[in-house]
Amino acid sequence: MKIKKVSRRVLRQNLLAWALLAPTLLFLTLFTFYPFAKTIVLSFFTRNLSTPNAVFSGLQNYRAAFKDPVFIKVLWNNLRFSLLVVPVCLCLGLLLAYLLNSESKGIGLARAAIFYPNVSPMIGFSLVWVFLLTPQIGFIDNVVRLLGGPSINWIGDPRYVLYAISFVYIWREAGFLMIFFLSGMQAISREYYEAAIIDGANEWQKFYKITLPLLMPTMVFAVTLSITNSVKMVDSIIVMTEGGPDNASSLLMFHIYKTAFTYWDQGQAAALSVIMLAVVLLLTALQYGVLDRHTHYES
Amino acid sequence: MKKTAVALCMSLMLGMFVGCSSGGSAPGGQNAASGGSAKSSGKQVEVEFYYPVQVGGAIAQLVESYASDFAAENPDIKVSPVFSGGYADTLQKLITAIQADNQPQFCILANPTILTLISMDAIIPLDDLINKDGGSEYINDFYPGFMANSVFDGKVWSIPFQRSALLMFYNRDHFREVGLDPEKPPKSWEEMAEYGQKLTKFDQNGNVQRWGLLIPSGGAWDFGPFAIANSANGENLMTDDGRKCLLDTPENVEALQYLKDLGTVYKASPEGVVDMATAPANFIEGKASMIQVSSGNLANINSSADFDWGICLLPYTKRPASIAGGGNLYLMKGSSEEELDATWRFVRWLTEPERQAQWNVDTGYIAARKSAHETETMRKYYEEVPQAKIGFEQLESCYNEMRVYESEKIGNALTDKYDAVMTGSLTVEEALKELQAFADETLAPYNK
Amino acid sequence: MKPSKPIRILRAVILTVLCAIWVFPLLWTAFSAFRPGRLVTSFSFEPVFSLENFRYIFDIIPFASYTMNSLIFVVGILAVQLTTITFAAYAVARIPFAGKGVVMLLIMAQIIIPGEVLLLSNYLTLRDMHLLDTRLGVMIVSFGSAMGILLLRQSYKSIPLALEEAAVLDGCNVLQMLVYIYIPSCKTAYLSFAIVSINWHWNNFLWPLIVINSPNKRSLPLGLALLTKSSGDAGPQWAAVTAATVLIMLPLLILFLIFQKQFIKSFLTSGMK
Repeated sequence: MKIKKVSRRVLRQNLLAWALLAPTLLFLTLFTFYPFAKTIVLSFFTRNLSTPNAVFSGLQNYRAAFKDPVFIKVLWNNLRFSLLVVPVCLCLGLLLAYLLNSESKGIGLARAAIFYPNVSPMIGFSLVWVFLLTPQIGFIDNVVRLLGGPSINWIGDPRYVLYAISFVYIWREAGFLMIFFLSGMQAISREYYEAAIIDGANEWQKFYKITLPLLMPTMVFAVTLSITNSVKMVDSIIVMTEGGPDNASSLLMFHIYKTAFTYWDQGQAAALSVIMLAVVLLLTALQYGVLDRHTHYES
Repeated sequence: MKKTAVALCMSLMLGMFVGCSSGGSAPGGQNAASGGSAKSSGKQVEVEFYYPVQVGGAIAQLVESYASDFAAENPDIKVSPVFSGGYADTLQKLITAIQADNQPQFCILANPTILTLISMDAIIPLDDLINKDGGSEYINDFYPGFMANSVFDGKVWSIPFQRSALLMFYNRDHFREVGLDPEKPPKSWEEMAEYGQKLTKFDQNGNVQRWGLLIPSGGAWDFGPFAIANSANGENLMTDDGRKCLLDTPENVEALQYLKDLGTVYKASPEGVVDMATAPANFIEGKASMIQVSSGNLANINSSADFDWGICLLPYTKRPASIAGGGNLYLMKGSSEEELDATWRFVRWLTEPERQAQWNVDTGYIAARKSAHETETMRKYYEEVPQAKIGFEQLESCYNEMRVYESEKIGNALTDKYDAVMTGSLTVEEALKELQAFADETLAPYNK
Repeated sequence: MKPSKPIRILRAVILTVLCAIWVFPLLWTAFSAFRPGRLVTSFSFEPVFSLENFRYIFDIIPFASYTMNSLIFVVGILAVQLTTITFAAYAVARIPFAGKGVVMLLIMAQIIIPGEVLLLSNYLTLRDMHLLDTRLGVMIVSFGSAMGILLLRQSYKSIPLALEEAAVLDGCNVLQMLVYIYIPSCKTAYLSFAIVSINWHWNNFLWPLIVINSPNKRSLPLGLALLTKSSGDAGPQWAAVTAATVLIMLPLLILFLIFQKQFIKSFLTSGMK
C-alpha cells in the first residue's frame, strides 16, 4: 500500500520532468545531437576533395590529427590562450561586477561602457582592432611612439599576436561574465550584509565571507562558460589574423573551421570536432567535480 | 500585471509561429521547384546566382541592377542574384547548397577555386555552349592572361568576370623628395631595393616613420610574381596540370631570400608580416612609398590619395611577371536545358564589351575582354585616370595564380612558411624544402 | 551597506580607469564614423566632420528591411527559448527523476558543441523540413538553449523550497508555480539570458547567410558584410565600416541602457523581501 503510493508519486514526477524537458530535448536532438552523431560517424571516414565519396578509414583521421605538427601547435596555442584568458576574464568579470554593483549616479553608463562589446557586431569591431593595432597608421602605435616607446607589429609578429588576440577577447568576454556575476550579486539578500556590518566586518570580509560563497552557483556556470568559450573562439581570428603568422594565433575552433570550410576535408574536420568535444568535456567534468562539491545552495 | 506580461509573451510567441509558418511555406515550396526542373508550368525560366562583394558594397547594387536590366530586355528569364559575403563565404554557401541539391545556376568565385570545384564535380565545361554560340571568337576576345585560369585539361570551365592584377603603386612626391625621378620607377629588383631603402624614413628615436616598400604577405598571390620573374624558364609555382608544385627550386630560394633581405638587409620593408588589408591605407597616409597590391585598390587610392601617385609594372629579374586575380563565372551542374540556355544568355550579356567597359569604370576591376578596351567608355576613362593604363599593360605579363589540386591547403602552407621566413623562425631553404615535402604529400592522391 | 569613504574613492578610481580602457575603441569608432573617409585612417584630430559615411551606407544597405528581419529573428528566438528553458530548468533544478544525470550531460554537451560544426547537417535537415530560405529556418535551430537552462537552474536552486511547498499546499499546479514564484524571483537571470541571446542572434552572420537567399529576408550582419568582405581585391572600407558598426550596435546599446535599470529595480525589491 505504502510502496504503491510512493511509486505512483515517482512515476508522476518522472512523467512531469520528461514532459517539461520534451520541447528542449526535441530541438536539441534535431539540431545538435543528431547532426553531431553524424559528425562522430563521419570522423571514421575519409571524405575530402580527393575522395569525395566517404570511405571507411577507422582511426586514420585521429592518427593524422596527432601526427600533424600544425594541430599540435594549435592545441598548444589554445592551452596557452585558455590558461591566460579564463582566469583573467573571471577575475576581471568579478571585479567589474563588484565595482558596478552599486546605485551611484552614472552607474548605468559605466555598465554599458563595460558591456557594449557584447552588443556590437564582432566583424565590425575586429576590423576596428586590426586598424588600431596596425603599425605606422594605427592609433595605438602612434600613441606609443609619441610617448617614445617602440613600434610593435602586434598582429604581424608571432611573439605578440596571441596576446593581441587575447586582449581583444578579454575586452569582450570580461563584460559578458560581469553580467552574470552582477545578476548573481543582486540576488543576494541585503540582510546578510546588514548582519555582517553589525558584526563589524570590513569590505574584504564582506566580499570574501558573503558575496563569494553565495556566488558559487553562478561561478560554476561562469567557469564552464568561459572555458568552453575560450575553446570555441573563432570570429575575431577570422577577421584579424586568419591564424597567422605561421599559425601563431590559430586556435582549435579556427583550425576546425579551416579544415572543414577551406580545405573541405570533412572527415578530418569531424575527427577534430570530436577531439575538441572530448577536451572540453574533460575540462568541465573536472571543474564540476571540484566546484560543485564546494558549492552550497541556499536552502 | 504579471499575468498580462505572461499572456503577452505567449501570444507574441504564437504569433511568431503562425506568422512564420505561413510566411515561410510559400518560398520554401518555390525553392523546391527551382531546385528541380524549371519545366513545370510557367514560361519564365529562373536563373539564380551567388555573388560575393570583393571591392565594397556598391557592387551589390550594380549586380542587382544588372539583373533587373537584363530581365527588362528578356521577359522570359527571371534572374535572381543572391549576395553571399566574400569569396570564402560564397564557396561555403555554394557547397552547402550543392550537398542539398539546391544549388544556383551559376556563381562568381575566385579563380584558383577551379580545381576544388572540378574535384567536387560541381561545375560543367562550357565548350558545348561556346561552340553552339559562335565558337571561339567570343573566347579569343578575352586576355590570355585571364583565360589561362579558365582552361584546364583542354576545356573551358569559366568565363573571366571581375578580374584584377597585382600592380605597384608609388608615391611620386616621395620620389621627388629623396631625389628619385618619378618618371623612372624601379624596373629591376636591385632598383626596387635601392629605391625602397632611399624612401624609408626614420625619426630621431630610430623608429620608422615611413616604409619605402610594402609587400603584403598573401602567400601564393604575393610571392607568385617574384617566383615567376626569377624562374629558370618562366615556370609558375606549379605544373599546368595542377598535380605538382615547383617550390624548392634554387630560383625560388633566391626570390624568397630577396624578399626577406628587403627587410633585414636593405631595411626597405618591415621585418615580419605585412597585413594585406592595411597596406593600401598605409600608402594613402603617406606611410609607405611603394606598395604591391591588387588593381582593385585603384578606385579607392584615386579618390583618397591627396598626392601625386603613379602605377608601374612590377620590377623583375629575368622576365616581367604579375599574377592575375579576381573572380570568374562558373556554371553549376544540375541545371535543366532551359535554365542552362537562359544562364548562358545572361553570361554573354554580362560580358558584352560595352558592359565590361562600364563595369571597369564603375568598379576598378579590369575589363577582361580586349574589345572592351577599345570602347569610347574606356578611352575616356584612361584620359581621366591615366595610371589605369599601366594596369592594362601589366596584363601582357600576367600568369596564373597558383592553380593546383588542394590549392587552399597548399596555398595556406605557403603563407605559413612565408611568414615563418619573414619572422625568422625558418631559413629560406628549410622553409621551401618543408613546403615542397608538404605539397608532394598532399598531392600524392592525385598522382596515382 | 555603504562602504567607508576611502574605499568608495578607490572603487571609483579603478572603475573609471577600466571604463576608459574599455570604451576607447567605441569612442574611436564613433568619432571616425562622423569623419570624412580620407581622415579615418590618419592620426589626426582636425575638427572636420561629415555625414558622408552614413549617406554611403544608407545608400547600399537597406536598413529598414534588414533591421526588421533582425528584430524578427531575435524576438522569435528569444520568445521560444524563454519558454523551453523555463520548463527544462524547473525539471532539472527541482524534480528528481530517472536519467537526470544523462540529461544534464546532454545539456552540457550542447554548450560545448560549436554550431559551425553542425552547419551542413542542419542545412540538410532544414531542406527535408522545407524550411530553407525561410525565417523560421534561421530561428528554429536555436529554439533550445542549454546555456539558458544552466543559468536558470542555478537561480531556481537558490529559491527556498519552503516557498514551493507552501504553494503546493495552496493548490498551485506546476505552471502556476512557475508563473507566480519562479519567474518573478529570477528576473535578473532571465534578463541576463535575454541580453546574451539577443546579442548572439543579432550579430549572427554565417547561419543566416547560408539559409537565406531572398533579399527581403536578410538581416543586419549581412549588411555589414557588404562593407567588411572586400579586403581581398581592395582594402576594407574603414570609414563605412565604422559608421555601420555604430548603427548596428546602437539599438542594442539603447536596449541595454534601458534594461540595466531593471537590474537596479530588481535589486531594490529583492532587498525588501
